[in-house]
Amino acid sequence: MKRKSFLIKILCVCLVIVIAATAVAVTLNKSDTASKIENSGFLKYSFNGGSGYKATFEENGQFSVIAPNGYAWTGGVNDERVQVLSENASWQEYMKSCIAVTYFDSTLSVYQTQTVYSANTSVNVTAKMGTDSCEYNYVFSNIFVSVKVKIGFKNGILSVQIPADGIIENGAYKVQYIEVLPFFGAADHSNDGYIMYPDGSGALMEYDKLEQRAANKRTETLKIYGSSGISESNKVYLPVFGIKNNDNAFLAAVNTGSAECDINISPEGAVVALNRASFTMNYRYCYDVPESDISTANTSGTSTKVDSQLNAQDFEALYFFLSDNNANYSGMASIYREFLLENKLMNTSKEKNALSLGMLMGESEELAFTTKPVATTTFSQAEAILKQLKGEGASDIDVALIGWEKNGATANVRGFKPWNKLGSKKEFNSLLATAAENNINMLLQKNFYSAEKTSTGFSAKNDSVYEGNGFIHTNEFNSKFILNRTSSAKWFELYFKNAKKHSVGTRFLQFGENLTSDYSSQNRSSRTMSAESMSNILADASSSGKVAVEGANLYTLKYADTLFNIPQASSNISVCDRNIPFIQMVCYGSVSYTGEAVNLYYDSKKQLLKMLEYGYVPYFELTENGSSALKYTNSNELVSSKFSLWRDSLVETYKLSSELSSIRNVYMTYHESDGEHARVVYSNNSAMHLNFSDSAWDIGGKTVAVGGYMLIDSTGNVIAEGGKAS
Amino acid sequence: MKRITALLLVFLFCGMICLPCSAEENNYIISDDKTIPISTSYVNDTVLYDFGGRLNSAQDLFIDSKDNLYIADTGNNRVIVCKANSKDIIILDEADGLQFNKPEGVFVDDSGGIYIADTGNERILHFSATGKYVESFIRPESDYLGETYLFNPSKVIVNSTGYLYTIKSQTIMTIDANNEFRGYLGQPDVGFNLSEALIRIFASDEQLKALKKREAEPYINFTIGKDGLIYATSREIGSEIKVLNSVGENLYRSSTAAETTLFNKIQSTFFSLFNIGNYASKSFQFGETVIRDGKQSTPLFTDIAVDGNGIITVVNSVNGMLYQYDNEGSLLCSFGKKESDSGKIELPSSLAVDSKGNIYLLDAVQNHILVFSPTAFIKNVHNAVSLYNDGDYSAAYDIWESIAQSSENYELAQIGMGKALYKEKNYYEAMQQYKKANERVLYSQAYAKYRHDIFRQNFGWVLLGILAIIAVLVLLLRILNKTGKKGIECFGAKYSGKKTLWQTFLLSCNTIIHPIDTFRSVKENRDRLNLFFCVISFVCLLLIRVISLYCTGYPMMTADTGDINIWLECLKLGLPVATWGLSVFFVTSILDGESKVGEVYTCCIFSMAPFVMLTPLFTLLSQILSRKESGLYNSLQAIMWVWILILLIVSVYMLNNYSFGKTMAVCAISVLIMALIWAIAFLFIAIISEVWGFVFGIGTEIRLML
Repeated sequence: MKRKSFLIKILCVCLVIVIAATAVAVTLNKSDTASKIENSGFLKYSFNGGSGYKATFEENGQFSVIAPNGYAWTGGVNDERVQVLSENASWQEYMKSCIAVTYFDSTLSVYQTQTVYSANTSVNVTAKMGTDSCEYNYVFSNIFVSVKVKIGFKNGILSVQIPADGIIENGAYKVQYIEVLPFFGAADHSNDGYIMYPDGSGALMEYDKLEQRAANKRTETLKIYGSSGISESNKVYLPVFGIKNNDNAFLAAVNTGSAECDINISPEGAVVALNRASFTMNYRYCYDVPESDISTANTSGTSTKVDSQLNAQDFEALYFFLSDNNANYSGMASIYREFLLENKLMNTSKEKNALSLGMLMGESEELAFTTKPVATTTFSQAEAILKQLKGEGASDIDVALIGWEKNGATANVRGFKPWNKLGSKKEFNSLLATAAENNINMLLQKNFYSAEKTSTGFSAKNDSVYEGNGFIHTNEFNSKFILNRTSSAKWFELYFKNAKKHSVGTRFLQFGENLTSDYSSQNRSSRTMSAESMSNILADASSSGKVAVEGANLYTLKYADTLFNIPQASSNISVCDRNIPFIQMVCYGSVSYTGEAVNLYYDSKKQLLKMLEYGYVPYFELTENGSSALKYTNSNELVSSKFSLWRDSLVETYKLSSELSSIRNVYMTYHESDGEHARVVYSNNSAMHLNFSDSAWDIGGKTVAVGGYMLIDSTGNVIAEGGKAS
Repeated sequence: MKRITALLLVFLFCGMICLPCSAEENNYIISDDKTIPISTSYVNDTVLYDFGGRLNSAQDLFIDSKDNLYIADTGNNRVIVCKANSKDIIILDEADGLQFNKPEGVFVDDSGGIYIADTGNERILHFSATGKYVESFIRPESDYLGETYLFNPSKVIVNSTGYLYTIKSQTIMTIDANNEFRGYLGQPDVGFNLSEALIRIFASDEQLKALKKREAEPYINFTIGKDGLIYATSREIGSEIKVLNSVGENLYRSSTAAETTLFNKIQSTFFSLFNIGNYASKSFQFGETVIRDGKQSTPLFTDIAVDGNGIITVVNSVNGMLYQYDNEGSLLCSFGKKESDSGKIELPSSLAVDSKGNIYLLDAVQNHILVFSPTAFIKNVHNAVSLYNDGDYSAAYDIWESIAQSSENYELAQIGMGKALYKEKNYYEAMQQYKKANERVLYSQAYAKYRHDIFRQNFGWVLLGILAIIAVLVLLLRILNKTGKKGIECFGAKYSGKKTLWQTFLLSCNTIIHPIDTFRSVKENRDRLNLFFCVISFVCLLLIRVISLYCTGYPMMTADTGDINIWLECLKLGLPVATWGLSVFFVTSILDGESKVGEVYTCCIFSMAPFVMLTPLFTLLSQILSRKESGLYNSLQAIMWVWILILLIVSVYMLNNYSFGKTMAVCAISVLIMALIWAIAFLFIAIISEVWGFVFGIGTEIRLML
């Protein structure tokens, strides 16, 4: 009897516990907090992150995100697959890791890096649960380094943070960079998918193109916002990449610390049979130090040094998940655009012109002894051009004056000094007044990023950025330098007080294409600080007049009204299988952009179609006197520019652009192309169909002509069309 | 025998299509070592990569007249035949019971016969158009081939008479249809090498034995044109591209590097000092020299393709760029690899062109074929070249004009327009076009014709002008004579005390007509000379030199105005004048001379009087001369310098009272001393530079350590 009542009591207690636990679990689920699950020796914490997505975190650092359709995104590759993919123990650890820390021994005279993985058995992991996040502390006991990683999941967005103060170095081993979630979303070619990366206009590495890649497959590393230097590098404007695996996809975006990050893209076959992409956060940079012939032991005469101090910069990456119809690069662009607009990281300019015109006013030709001025368009000629355009009805345009200052387009001048070789100040003022009278947006091109050796008012010693090795950052000819942030701001101030008086906009060269850190003692700044300085200049500039920026680095989008020199393709690196208009899809409807000048097109029909597909504002770069005088100048890429030759084409293109005004202020929500046909859908549900093929294209009863386009509104009416009759 | 495999969707444009991809942006021409961008000429929009599996170190590519594609897939020991407009692939991998072994070359004749260089098996194989094995060509038996002769054919072509050609290092071996050896073609001249000649003079017998035999540069690749000529690439500097006729003569242009022999170099350096015959002309080389990490790499053209119009395209494996030339050797365009284009072009091994003008580039590392399609711009260029070659100058002009509008800096268009205008006897317009293209030689030809027309139309005025010039010259001489006499008077006994600048100037004028009297006066007034005159005159000399360089007539200029280095030109004139005085003084001081520094320099400056008088006249004369009259122009300049030299010798003779023999000896030694002074100065500058580099290096290291 006693035993029976005891059992009943026990059962009652258990029942109470179960009821209580259920109640707690229900409450926890309602408030998006974690629930604890027992699983094969490890504790798991599960989050219901909203939007139907769920995340599960394990105490050992592993985690997964489950999509509403049941697809699981795992932080590392699971044990079974790891065994199949590689026999190498290091690679097995790498594949299972959430972070990979690359370090070096600061006591050694020779610089050498090694990498340690968070899945290594010697790494001690402790997990601390929050309401919607899990904080892991990885202690790499072998190198006396610990790294805190906070992974959160809220509103369907996964965030991964590495606070700067979470990196602790207790010995001679110093952290150089950390790769975050190196195998998150990694998949092989049995999946239908691709990796989207933002090189140039954007590009895809498609899983099914495995066969076309050469045997020596390699990981490509892209420096976000361009490399620290003067010369051109890959143009990586946005700190994002995306992975699509069948009906699921995610877009990863760096929210904090993007200026110090790289994007890694690895095709299947680059060591392991997985396509993968990840971010790397740099905490220290390397630089070459030349050594004298006496002390150098190596033949190159240089040795590699690394920053002694850790670049204390917080890092946060956000992962936006997409599924089914949205699981594609259009969905990735849309979700990122929404994120930028919600967080006011991108401008929404209401003034979007039908056409943009650059007028190259002057250049200088370097001779052995002196420089020769080359005037291609005088101020009065430019004024006459504006009047002609007005006469033709083309007034809804931006006009940029290029090379209007002393020594023309290549030179950079401190202050605001119209070049007297192009006309008097009176003529210059008259030109600006004519533009203002005709409601033409006039922009003056200036360069506050770099300067030539011969630039008026420039001192290489005081105004330049310095490298880590103590040398001034310059090109191989010692002729071009990068302005340090103090000088850049000062030069801008001197210019801007005059520009404000004339109510003109500014066209910023290189501001959205390159970013450089500065090691000088007076102006020391990291890439992040340099980006802030540039952003501040743009903020000031936007207070008066229009702002145009070359390139589209994220930190410029907040203030830019228009972007120029935006590429129509990627830079064609080894993992490029297809070019896509990713940057265009993000910016379209918010910030307008121009690309290659129409007068430089090699195939005007095809490239005009491409221009429409990618949503560019048509751009012409012209001169009054033709470009033969530019032959031996730095502007000799302008191979055909005579206004009288291109006037009719400009007016025609203006009319074409004006016809498409209904889609100028809407977003680009969907894009698809098979190389022969392209379809672009806008947020007002109108759709542009473009036919690149040699035969007419039938689209539900309507025919798009050969080499033509057709814009159809949401009700199915044709708004505009063009092209050869089939 | 052969294996025919029908594979669906594996060949025809199964590669990715990227429009527009970045490769088309890197388009330019090279004019006088300067890179000038032009309109996009070729666009790479297709990559072929799957031919029943990937290629493996493929070494050769051929496209026949029906646009069928043949690939020597060397690493896979096979030859692939891809039929145009069909998805079929034929694979040839064995013949005569023997598996192919590293075949490196493939060629197809007009009847469709396929010839394969089965390199590893030391044989050339002949298959029919249907892929049926026909015959083998093996090492021919011949007394001319030594016993150790190795027959390892890597490339093969066949001409219309059935002769087979294969590259054998620096020559091309010919074999007839009966497998008989028919000799070698195209053996280049080894040439003279001064350093080697010197070594051979002074080397011991043992050292001579150790010296390697110098051989001509080898051929790299070749093809045969529709005209039956052999188009080859070679490592020979200056003749990297050759067009050989049936007896092996090179009919194609050579680069300026080939024309620059050691003698030419010495000659041009010597004459450039005196500004004689050193006319500005465009330098030319095939391809371009690539500088990477401070190292220069000359072009290495791994293959050559020629289309039906004789347009030649070569690929440089050093920089992954393709260069296209017309039949006269003018560069039409260069395109190909971009710096950021990592991985698409790594080791280009072969090149072919199809009937539509598409260029196929085979890469041996990437194991794919890039297809470059011509744009409207380059198609227009080809069309204009073809029309000009056919003699339809008027039609060619119209096309060149449209090309010039779409690419204003495209020199070939300007030259083409100039040539067409010249043929139409519109010489003045032709001159303007040639000037735009900076073609001085062609300009000079047009100018000579133009001048002829002008002179004929205005013969009376021209005659009158010549008479006026003669009168002015006579008058000038009379003035000089009068002025000189006054100068002698001023330096006579009547005028004591230090000489004024004006008096010295008057005396210097006398050097032209009465040099001996002048130098005697200098000697007699050695303590009363005005040395400031020397300084002013020296500056004037330099000014005259510089002004003449800028003002010389366009065809006769020594350099483009933008390329004139004023400091170098001043140095070229000033250094000999300055060091001559010094060395003469040194030598005469030792050899019982009487002269002092002041009078030596004064005489030296006086001796330059012909330069001061004649250079402006020559500059004026150059305005009406063309390069046809360069002989006259050079002779006049040479006479001036000889005159100056005689004056210098006379001055030494007069100032020191030497005998004629001793004067000549002193002058010769002075020239040697001058050379010694220059050598020491050069060494000094080099040492200073080294020391500075050393101190700077140490300083940098210390700064970084701190």
